[in-house]
Amino acid sequence: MKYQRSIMKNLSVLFFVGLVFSSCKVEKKTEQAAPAKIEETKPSRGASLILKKDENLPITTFNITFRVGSADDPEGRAGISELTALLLRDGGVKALAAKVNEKFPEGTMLPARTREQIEDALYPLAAQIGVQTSREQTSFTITSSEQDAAIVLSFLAQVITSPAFAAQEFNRLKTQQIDYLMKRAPNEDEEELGKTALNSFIFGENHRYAHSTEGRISDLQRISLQDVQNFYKQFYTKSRLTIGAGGAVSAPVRNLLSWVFQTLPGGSVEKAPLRRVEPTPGVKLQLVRGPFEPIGVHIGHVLPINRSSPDFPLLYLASTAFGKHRSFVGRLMNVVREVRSLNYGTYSYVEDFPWGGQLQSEPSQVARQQQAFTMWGRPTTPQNGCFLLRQMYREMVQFSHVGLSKKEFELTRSHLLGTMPISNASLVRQLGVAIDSEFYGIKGDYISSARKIIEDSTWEQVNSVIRKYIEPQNASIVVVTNSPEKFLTAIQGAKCEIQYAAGVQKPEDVLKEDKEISTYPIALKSTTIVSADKFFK
Amino acid sequence: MQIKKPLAFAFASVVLLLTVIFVNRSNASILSLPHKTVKLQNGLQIVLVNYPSPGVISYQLPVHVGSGNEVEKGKSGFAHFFEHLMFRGTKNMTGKEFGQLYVRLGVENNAWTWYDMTNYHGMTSTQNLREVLEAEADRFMNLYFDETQLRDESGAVRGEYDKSMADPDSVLEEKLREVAFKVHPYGHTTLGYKEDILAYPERYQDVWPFFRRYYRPSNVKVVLVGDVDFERDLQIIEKAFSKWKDPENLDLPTIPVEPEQTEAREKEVKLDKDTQMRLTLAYKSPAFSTQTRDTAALRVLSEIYFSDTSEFQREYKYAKAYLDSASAGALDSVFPGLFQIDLKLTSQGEAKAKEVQNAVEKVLDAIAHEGPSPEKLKATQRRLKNEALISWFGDPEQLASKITWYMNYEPETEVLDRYIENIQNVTANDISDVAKKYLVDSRKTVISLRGEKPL
Repeated sequence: MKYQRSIMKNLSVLFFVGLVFSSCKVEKKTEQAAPAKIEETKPSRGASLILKKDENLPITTFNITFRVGSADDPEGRAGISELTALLLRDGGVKALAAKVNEKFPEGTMLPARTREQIEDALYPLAAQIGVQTSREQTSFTITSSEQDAAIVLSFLAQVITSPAFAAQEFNRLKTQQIDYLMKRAPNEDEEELGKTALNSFIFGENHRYAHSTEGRISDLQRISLQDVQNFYKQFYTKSRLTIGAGGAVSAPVRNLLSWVFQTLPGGSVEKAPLRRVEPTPGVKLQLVRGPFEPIGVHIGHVLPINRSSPDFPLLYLASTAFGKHRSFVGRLMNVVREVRSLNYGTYSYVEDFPWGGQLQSEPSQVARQQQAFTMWGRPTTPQNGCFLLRQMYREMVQFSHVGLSKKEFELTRSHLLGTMPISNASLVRQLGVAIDSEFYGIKGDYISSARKIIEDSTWEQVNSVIRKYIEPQNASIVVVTNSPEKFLTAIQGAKCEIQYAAGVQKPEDVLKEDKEISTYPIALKSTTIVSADKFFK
Repeated sequence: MQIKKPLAFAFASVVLLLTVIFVNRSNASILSLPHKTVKLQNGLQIVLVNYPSPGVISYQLPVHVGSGNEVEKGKSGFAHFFEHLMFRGTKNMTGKEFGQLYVRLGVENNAWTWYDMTNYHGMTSTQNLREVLEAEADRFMNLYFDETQLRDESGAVRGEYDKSMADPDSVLEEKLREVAFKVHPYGHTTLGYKEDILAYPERYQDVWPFFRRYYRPSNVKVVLVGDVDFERDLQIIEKAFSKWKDPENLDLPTIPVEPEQTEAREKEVKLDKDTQMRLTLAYKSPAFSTQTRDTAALRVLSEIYFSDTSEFQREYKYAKAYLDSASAGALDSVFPGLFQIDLKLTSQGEAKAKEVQNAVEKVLDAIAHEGPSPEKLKATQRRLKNEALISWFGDPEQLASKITWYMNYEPETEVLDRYIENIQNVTANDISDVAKKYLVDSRKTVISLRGEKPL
C-alpha cells in the first residue's frame, strides 16, 4: 500500500502538470513560435543536462552522449568502445533495481528484456535506439511522439544503466566487427581506408586517434565479455555524461531526465588524456597498397586549434572557400572536377568528418580535442594519380601563400551566413551541436557565435589565419593504390602529364596551367609503402 | 510479491494517463504548429507554417503536373524536361546568374518531378526569403531560354535517362508501367520514352504551350515552413506573385480513363548483365483519397504483412534468406494507380522465385479471408501515427515536403488529419475488404527481371 500511495501521488503531479502543459499549447497557436532556447544545468554531480525545449513540436528527441570513444580504448583492446556501445543497445536489459523504482514511476515495471523484446515493445512507438561511436564520444539517440517520450526515455535509461550483456549478442557483434576489419575496411572502401591511413599517419601510429573506431582485429579477438563489462564500468560515468533532450520536453519528462541516470557511478575523468601532437617537419609520403586500381589522394597535418578558438570560424570559412564538402562552392571542386574532370570531387576540412561518402552535411558527436586540416581527393584513373597529387599539393601551397581572392572571400562569407543556420535547422542537429559545445567548453549557441565572427570578419583577417595555420611544408600525404612502386616512380620523376579522354579539347589557359602542374615540385622528405591491412590487423 | 502488483497497476495507469493528458493534442490537428492558408485572387494557394527553426525557412513551389498528364504523342517526359528548363534563365536573368544568386545567398535549392507533381524547393535563411521568392516568381512568370539552351538541356535529360536505366529497378518500372496501363499516361515513367527524349532537341516550339497550360497561378502552391512571420511573408509572396494570371484559354487535354483490367498479366525481363533477380507483383489500386478508408487500409495492410517485422519477411528474408529486401505499398496517385510488392531475391532465392511468389499470394489470400488480430492492428495503427509524427516534424524541410505531397491530392491542410484519422479508424474488415477488392488476380501484373551472367 505504501508503494501504491507514493506512486499515486506522483501520478497526480504528472496529471496536473500535463493539463497546464496542454492548455499552454492552445494559447501558443496564436503566437509566433519562440526560438528554442538552450538551457544547460548540472542536475547531478558531473552530468550535464541540455534542453532544447519547444513545446509546439509534437515530438521529443533524446541524445545521451558520453565522452568516451575509440581514443579511450585501452592498450591491446582497440575497438572495445564501439563494441561496448553496440552491446548496450543489443545485449538486452536487466530489470531495474528497486532503489531506482521508488523514484521512477514510469520505470517501475521495467522488466528484463532481450533485444527482440525491446524491438517488439518499440514497434508501436515507431522509435528506435541509435548508437554512434567516434574518437571521443559515444551517443545514444531516440525520437518519439511527445506522448511516448517518458516510455522511450525509460527504455534508453534501462539500456544505458542496466545492460544485460547477453553473451550471444556479444559474439555476434564481435564477429561482425572483425569481419568488417578483415574484409570490408581494407578491400571495399578505398576512400575510408585513405582517411584512416592519413589520420594514423598525421597523429602517429601510437597515438590514441591512430586506429579506426572499429578497432584492430588482433585486439578484438582478445576482447572478452568481461573486458566489455569492465570498460563499461570504468567509462560510463556521470562525469563523462551529457544528457540532451529536445522538442516537447514536458515537466515530468524533464524531471525523469535529471535523475534517471543517477545510478551511474560518478567518475572523475571527463575526457581522454591525449598527447598533443605538433606537425612533424617536412613533406612525408605514405603509399598504401590496396586492391584498388583508381588512385585516391589524402593530404593533411595537425591543427593547434579547435572549435573553442575564436580563429576557428575564420579557418572554417577559409576551408569552405577552398574545398567545401561535396559542393561547387569550393575552389578545389572547380579546378579538379569542373575544369579537368579528374575525379568526382576534391574537398578540404578543418574538423574530423567521418562517413563523408554517405553524408552531405557535417555530422555531430564526432568532436575531438585535437583537429587536423585535411584534403580529400576522390579516386582518379591510375594514369592521372600523379597529376592529381601534384595539383592538390600545388593548390595547398597557393592557398597557404596567397590565400583567398577578395571575391572568393566575399562570396563564401555570404554563402555561409545563409547556409549555417540552414544546416542547423533540424531538432536533432541543434541538440547535437549543443552537446558538442559542451565538449569544447563553449558557452551558448556555437552556430550563432561562429556566424557572428564570420559576419564581422575581413578578407585580411581570413588570409592571415590561413597563413598562420596551413602548413604545406609539413604536410603528410597518403596515396591509396594497387601499384605503389609505379606511383613512386611517377611522382619522383620530373613530370607527370594529365591524360584527357580522347577528343577532349581544353582552352589555352587550362593547358598552360596543366604544364605547370605536371612539373610542380614536391620536396619529399620521406616515402614509405605500407599494406592496407596494416591499419586493421 | 506484494510489491509487484501495485507496480503493474501503476504502469498501466501511466500509459493510460499519458494518453489522457494529451487528449487535447490528439484530438487537435496533427499540424499542431501555428499555420495559415490563404488563396490569392489569381488562384495561387499559400500555406504558411510556423516551425521552430530559428532564422530558417523551407520553401516549396509545387506545380500540379507530372508525367500522368502527358497524353500527347511524342511528349512523354515533358513535365520532367520542363523541370530542367526552369533552371535555364528568365527574361531578366541568365541561368548562370540564377545559379550564382543561390550560391551567394547560401540557399540549397533543387527540384523533382513525379507522376502527379513537379516540385521546386529549398531552404533559405529568413533574411534571404524575399530575394529567393522574387527569383522564383521571376522564373515562374518570365521563363526564357533560346533553342541552343534547350538543346543543351535535352542532352542532360538524355544522360539522366541513360544513367537511370543502368539501374535494373528503373528498367523494371518502365516495363511494369507499360504492361499494366493500356491507355492512361501512367503507362510511361516520369522520365518518358527514350524515342521521345531523343527528339527533345527539336521541341523548342512545343515546350511553350506546356508552360502556359500548367505553370499558372491556380495550378501552383507556395508552401513555407519554418521561422515564418505570417504578415511579412504573405506580403512578400503577394508582391512577388500577384501580377501573375492564368491564361484565358487553357486548352487542357482530356486524360483517357484506363479500362478495368480483367486478366492477370505477366512479363519477364532479361538484362544482359549480372544482376540480382527482382520480382514485382502490382495490383490496380484506387487513387489517393481520404473520402473512403481504402487508401488508409492499404497502408496498414502493407505495414502489417510486408514490412521488416512481418511474418512474411521473418520467414523469407531472415529464416530462409531467399530475399535481400522486400517492400510493399500503394503509390499515392491522382488517378487509379498501382499497389506494388517489390522483392529483390538473394542468389539462393533466385531458384525459389515461384515459391516466394506463391507465398505472397497466399498471404493476400489469407488477408481476404481474415484480417489482422486486434492487437497487431492496434500496434500498427499506433506505429503509423507515431512514424508520421517523428518523420514529419523532425525538421522544417521534411514537414514542408509532406504538406506539399498530401495537398497535391486533396488541396487543404486538413488532408493530413483525415489521412491519419482514417489510419486510426481502419478495421480488420476494411483490410480484408481492400484485399478482396484490389489485391486479386484479375488486377495483377507480375514482372520478373533477371540478369545474365556475362561469359
